[in-house]
Amino acid sequence: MISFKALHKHPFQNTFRLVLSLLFSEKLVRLILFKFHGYFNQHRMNAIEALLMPFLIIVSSLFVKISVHKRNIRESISVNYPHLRQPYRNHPYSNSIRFILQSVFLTFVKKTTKKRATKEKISHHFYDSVNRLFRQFRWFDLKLGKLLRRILSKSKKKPKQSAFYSIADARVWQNKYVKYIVIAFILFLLTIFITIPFSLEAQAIFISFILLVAYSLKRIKGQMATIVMITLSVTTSSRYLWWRYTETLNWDDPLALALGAGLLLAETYAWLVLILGFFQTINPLERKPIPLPRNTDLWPTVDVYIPTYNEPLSVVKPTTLAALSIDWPEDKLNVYILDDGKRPEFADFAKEVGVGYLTRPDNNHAKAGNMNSAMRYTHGEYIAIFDCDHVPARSFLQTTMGQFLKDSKVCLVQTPHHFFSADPFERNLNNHSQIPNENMLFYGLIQDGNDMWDATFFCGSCAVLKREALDNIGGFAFETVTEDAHTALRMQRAGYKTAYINIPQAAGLATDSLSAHIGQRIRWARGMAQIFRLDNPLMGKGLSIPQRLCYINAMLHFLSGIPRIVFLTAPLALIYFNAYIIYAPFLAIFIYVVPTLIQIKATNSRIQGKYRYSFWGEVYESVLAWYILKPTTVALFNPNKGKFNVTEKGGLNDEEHYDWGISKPYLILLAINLLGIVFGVLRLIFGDPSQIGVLVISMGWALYNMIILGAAVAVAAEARQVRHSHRIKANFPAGIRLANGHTLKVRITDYSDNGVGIETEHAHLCRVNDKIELLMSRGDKQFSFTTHVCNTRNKQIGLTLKDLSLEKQRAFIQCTFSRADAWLDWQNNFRHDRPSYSFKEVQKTSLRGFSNLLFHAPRPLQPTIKLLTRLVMYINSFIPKKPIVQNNYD
Amino acid sequence: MQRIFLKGIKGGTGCTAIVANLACVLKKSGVHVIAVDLDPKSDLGLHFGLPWKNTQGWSDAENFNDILTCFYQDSDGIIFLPHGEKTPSNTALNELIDNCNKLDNVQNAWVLFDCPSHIDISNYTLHKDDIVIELVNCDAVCHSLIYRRLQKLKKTENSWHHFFLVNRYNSSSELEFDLFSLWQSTLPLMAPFFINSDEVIKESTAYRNVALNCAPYSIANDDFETLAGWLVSKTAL
Amino acid sequence: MQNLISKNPQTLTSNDIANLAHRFGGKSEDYIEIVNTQKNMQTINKYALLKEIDNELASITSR
Repeated sequence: MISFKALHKHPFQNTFRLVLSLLFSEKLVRLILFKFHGYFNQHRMNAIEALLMPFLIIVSSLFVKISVHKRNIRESISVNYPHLRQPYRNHPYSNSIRFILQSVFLTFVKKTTKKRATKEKISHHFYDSVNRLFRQFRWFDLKLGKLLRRILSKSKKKPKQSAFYSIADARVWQNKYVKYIVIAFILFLLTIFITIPFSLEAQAIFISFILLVAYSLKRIKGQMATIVMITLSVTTSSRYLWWRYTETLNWDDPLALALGAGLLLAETYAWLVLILGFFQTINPLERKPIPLPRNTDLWPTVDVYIPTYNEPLSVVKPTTLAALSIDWPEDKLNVYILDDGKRPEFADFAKEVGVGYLTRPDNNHAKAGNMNSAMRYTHGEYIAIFDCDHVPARSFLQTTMGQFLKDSKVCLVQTPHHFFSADPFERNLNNHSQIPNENMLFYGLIQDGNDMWDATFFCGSCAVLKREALDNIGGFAFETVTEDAHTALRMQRAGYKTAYINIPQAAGLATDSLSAHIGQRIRWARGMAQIFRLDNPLMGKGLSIPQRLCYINAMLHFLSGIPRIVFLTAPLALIYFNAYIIYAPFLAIFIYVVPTLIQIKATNSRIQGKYRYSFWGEVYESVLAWYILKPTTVALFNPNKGKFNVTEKGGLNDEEHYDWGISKPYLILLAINLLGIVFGVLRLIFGDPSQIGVLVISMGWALYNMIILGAAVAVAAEARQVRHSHRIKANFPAGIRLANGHTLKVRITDYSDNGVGIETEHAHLCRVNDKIELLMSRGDKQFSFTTHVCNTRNKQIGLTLKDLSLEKQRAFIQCTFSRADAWLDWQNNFRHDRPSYSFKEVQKTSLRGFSNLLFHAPRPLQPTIKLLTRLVMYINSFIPKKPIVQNNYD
Repeated sequence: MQRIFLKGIKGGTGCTAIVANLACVLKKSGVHVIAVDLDPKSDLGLHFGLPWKNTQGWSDAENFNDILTCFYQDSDGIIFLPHGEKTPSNTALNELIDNCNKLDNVQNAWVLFDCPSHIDISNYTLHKDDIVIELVNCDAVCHSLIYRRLQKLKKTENSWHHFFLVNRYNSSSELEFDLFSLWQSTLPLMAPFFINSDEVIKESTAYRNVALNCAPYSIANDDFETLAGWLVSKTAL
Repeated sequence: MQNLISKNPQTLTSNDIANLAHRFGGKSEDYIEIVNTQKNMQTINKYALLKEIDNELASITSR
């Protein structure tokens, strides 16, 4: 009962009350007024809000169970309407819209306990049956695995002999006729499998059988299983290609025919590269170093060439000092700096340190010309070549020279190029040491595979060449821009052999920026195309067939520009032009394309897993595709056009920026793919329902392309290079002697040109600026360095070395960069590839790429982007959301 | 049984500390060790924590049975025999060395003899399995003494294995570094490693202990293990 | 005694050549540590006492 006093004081309220009592019951009216007073007086809401609130509560109680207590009301609201903007009163209008939408959502999607029970029962049954199916499958899979293991592991008895050799050397081959008959038989079988036309069902069964075998082989280690996988891949991919050629070209539609032929050529290229790749890497030779005779008088003389053009002295110094410290009799080792920049400080340094300094009057033919000129003044029997930033280990010559002494026909021993700094991919994507980098596939696997076929080629650095062989072919080849590969090709034609030792014995700087990296690849691509035109390995004498195939594969690799662009744009043909580039029903495409791709990816993952993770190859190719397109095409038609551009080493990125210039091609491709997807969605909604299948596949392909391109876009965001001298991770023992004469065992965890990071076993008591004597060893010799503490943590100390004498600098390099085991861990940190995990990584990188785009957008665009993102987020806040799940303890 | 005679090429090279630490390392890796002090200075016991007031040793004993009562065992389990106060004759010295063969459990033991620098090695009757380690420091005097020793060794017919070992090595000293490089590459009898100069070796005696126990994280620790391992490999030959 | 034997008898501060041999086959004994004869001559010539001893030894061996 409201008192009379109140009645008089608030006439407005009185009338309001009367109106209410028309609509609601007495109790409700009292509640409303009570609430109104409460909100108005206690919570200081303004009149309108205070008026609306009770109504809101009443209305919402129709939809959601709200208890009377105030606290619970607030809780219920925040649980069931979690997307209302806080504080509620600041956004009355938008919040009320959200409220209404959410209430509607809740009525229709609300979970009742009854519904939940049935839903749970259904899901329970579902999971049960899936589990049972899984268990059946697993039993079958185990049986199959055991069977295969028994068949394929017979070679376990002779673990030393690789499966490849046991097949190749089996006595059954000795008889020539048997050999030909068996090969013919295999070819016959293959032809049948490849060309026989299957109905869709048969193809489905065939391919699922192959996938099943491939899956069970996953767990079996060993080369035999790999060979089986390769055979299966060859079969499925050839079959796929045959099907494409015979059944999927639309002769009626000229546009589809033209585009389809383009795609088909690209696929043929991919198939060719795949087959050649299998051939190339089927049995990496893994050559072991051969020890030298104990009498060093029998060792030959070696000249070390360090060609340089415009690199700073700080880069060349460590290389020179390390070269001087190579373990080789000093009267038989001569180091020369070949300076095309003709800089006086280099001449001074050479004199100070005791190495030769050679220049020439001109700069014709770049590095090859430089080295040819140097050959006139040096007389060593062998020539070791190091790029000016490749620091050799002290064991370099003793690891490599044995091959020459054992076989006088060997003219080249190549070792891997290892980088101690991050390449542009690793730096900009911030995944140094987490994913094998781009050049690891070549030096870790491909060159080793080449070695099996005696097709190793010279890579320009970290190698030793026989002087006599060079003289025989007229010096280093200078007609192409990849003079190294061309020189090796010539030497092999002249009858010499080459060798590859897969042990990193030198390390250098990776390219600084993405543009420098691309510039380098353009040069290699152009050079390979030039060699293809000028000295084609398929023709001419002196090469065996495997050698020709390996060289061709190396060249084909650089022609990937056009095919990659085709793959990146192919799905759009269907979406934009409705051109059936693969003229086959959706189901056929699905059954032929997808399993073949899976199978090939699985085989490649198995072979290359340690050196390259799945899907990253596509990213690398996409980054380069546009840029190597033109140089290779030009070089293929006119090999002598185009100039030699030197790769820069040792520069510094002082701030983070996005390289828009370089990423233009990817952005364009990305844009057309994105538009394609949008267009495809529109067509899905408004278009012909019969085409839904192929549209979906095309859009899926376009989406995949977008992910790859997104990752490529991410690479163009140049990260900031903080350090000038690169810091290299390490793990070897050393010691320190403190000022009070006590010593401590430590481990070197990283080092750079003038500093060292160490780790102690036990909490130390060193403070910043303490002077500490660092004791490091080179073999059995101990060197002492005066250092100062620049930072410390519990068990770690950072030391700097200042003002080292030349002698001490040399000693420092011997104890760190030049250690024989400095780079041995180059492959060990990587787990074997897992395709699904790798794809997730690529996706993450892709998202990073997109966010980079938005983050680095040019200034004028930024307000628009900010507005757009805010708009999207605002709209998003209206979408009804699921209420927060509570803990029901009943 | 393996007998190892450690002697400084001149006085003050730090021989006794080496004996004590070597004994400790060997003991910790499960070898039965007996250390015998042949030096009249009689300071080996100090490294093993022998109370200063105990001055009796084998040189004071009348016969072998009495000598047996002079043995001590330190907290690490190393059995050692102090020298005592008297100065023995040469025959008595050699008698003791011989008598060590008669000790219990000596077949699998390593017996380390701490020899004084002023008594020439040839005064001892050595057998072909014995190892003699002459400790040197990296200085010019030791250089001269090494070559004199080498000349002597060339002239006599020696049945034992003779080695030189550098002690108190400090690579930051130019002379030491140069000398050791020279020795490492030109002297076949030079051990391929060295005992680093470490304050803890000095300090530990003041603490009545050995360096191994006082500073387990020091380089000295590693050095003694290297020495022990190297000796083990030499005896296996 | 076992743990002493299993450790490299040459040096416990893990030798880089030993690591190389361990990983890639071959024996570390096959590796030849080159003697810096020039440095040695420098040392002998630098210190008069060493020079004298060296001369004396040379004349003894030539006799």
